[in-house]
Amino acid sequence: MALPLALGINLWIVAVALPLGLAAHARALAGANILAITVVSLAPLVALAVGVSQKRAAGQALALLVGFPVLIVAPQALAAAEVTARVVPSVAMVLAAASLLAFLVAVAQAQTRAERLAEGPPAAVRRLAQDPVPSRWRRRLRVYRGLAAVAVLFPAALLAAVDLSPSFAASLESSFGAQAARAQALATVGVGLLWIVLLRAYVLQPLHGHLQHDRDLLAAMEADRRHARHGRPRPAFYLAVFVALAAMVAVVLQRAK
Amino acid sequence: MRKYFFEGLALLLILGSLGFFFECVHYLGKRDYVAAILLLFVGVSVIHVGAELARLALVERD
Repeated sequence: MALPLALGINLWIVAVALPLGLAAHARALAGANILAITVVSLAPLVALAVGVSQKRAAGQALALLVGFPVLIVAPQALAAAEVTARVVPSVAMVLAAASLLAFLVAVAQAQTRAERLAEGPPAAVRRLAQDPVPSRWRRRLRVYRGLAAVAVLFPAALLAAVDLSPSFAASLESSFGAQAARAQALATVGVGLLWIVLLRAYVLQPLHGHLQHDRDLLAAMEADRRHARHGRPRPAFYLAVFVALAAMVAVVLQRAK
Repeated sequence: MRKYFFEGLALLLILGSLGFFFECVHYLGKRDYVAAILLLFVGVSVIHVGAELARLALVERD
């Protein structure tokens, strides 16, 4: 648990101590309750210490994977948005996100190692025969890698459009004025929710069915094969094409007004 | 040949839908909510068309 402890302390410095120091330097803490600030700032370290000292895996996971990350973001979440935006540079957010990711990976790896140690060494170890991977499996692996790439590409591109695009920020500034930061936060949440819906409908659901050898999926594939023999797609295809074209025409008409 | 055509078209449509979502986000920023919702419909429909073509490509493989 030495690595998670070190990364946890690093995360606390990046996400709590550093912004707190910057806020104190900028005199943004005037009027705040010192006792409350101290308690909120030190609570993550307590959760970290409790998690590292826990012997039970469930308690350790709760403290390190839930309690600590929530308490780490609590000080900035409780602070006024204007203060955070004024005091903390945006690069620090990227650094904090990377530190959080490294901490979570380190905790997960440490827990896996502890589980393996608890299970004891295997009775016998033998190398599997290194047969060449069949083409069917190579094809499946390509599909899985493609799905993983799409799962990263889509949300990353949409979040970049919302949070990093200067033209979008300028549009928000001109439309919402002082409320632009809140509107941007709302758009970020909306984009995240949109991606969750798309991921569930178009990636996870078919993948889950495929992995479980779902009877419904097999029946649907058989129906698709019958359709494909006719050489025509399903009615849903034509409906989606119609909706897309109608919506495009509506956009053009609406913008032409 | 048909298989590769369907696969390429499906990939193009699924990635192309991202452009409509981009525009949707930009219209949201300009407070043009009607255009944003219409573009959301376009994006979801295009991704749906891409998924249907991917399904056809999969069946063609078998």
